[in-house]
Amino acid sequence: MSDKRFTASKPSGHIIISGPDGFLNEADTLQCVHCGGHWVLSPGSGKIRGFCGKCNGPVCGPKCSECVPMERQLEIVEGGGTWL
Amino acid sequence: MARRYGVIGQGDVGTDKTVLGLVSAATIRPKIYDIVVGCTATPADGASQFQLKRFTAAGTSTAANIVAIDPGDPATLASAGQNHSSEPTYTSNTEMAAFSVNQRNTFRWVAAPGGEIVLPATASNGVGLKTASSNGTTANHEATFFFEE
Repeated sequence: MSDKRFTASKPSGHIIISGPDGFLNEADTLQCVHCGGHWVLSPGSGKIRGFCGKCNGPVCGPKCSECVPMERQLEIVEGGGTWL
Repeated sequence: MARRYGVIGQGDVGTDKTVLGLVSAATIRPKIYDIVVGCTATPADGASQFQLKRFTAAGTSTAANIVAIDPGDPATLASAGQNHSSEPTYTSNTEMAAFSVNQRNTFRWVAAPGGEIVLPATASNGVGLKTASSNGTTANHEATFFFEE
């Protein structure tokens, strides 16, 4: 029996954890528009998330607060740079 | 439509132990859209903290066989490694996902269209699934990546 509790209107991914007793957990994930990382929606966790008005999408935390879109970061690495 | 591939890798869990790594190439940007992780050993009541993280050097590993989902597709340009004897060089603060899984459970993550994890078109760069820590026994785990390029 699924206990999917927290959903996103526009999820970027979905996780399913199953065990010997069937479905244990099911949740949507969101993707950071800057680093591309995913996280599970967890209201009340205390983790700081954000939203980028230029990219029009969620941001995973303070480390990605500066607007460097995912595509730009890929180009930087492909040009010999490092991940921001 | 992009060409799609699947790859399976195994490795013991522990502190900073990579189970499966996908390595990019200079001309393509692989995109991981599905990940499945589970324990292949007799499961104990122990858990591991998995991280999906970017690396800039692939380390030393046994090559993992990449299979084209459409048998008419050519061989992949990306490569993959399992059972690492030397860990990849991970870049700090590049966790693409993190989750903790009990050995008795199976974990699956699927990207929505557009939510794939993109690797740069740079040789030796890639993404690895590693355990940051593990309690209980260091059981062997198996991971499957489905990706397109």
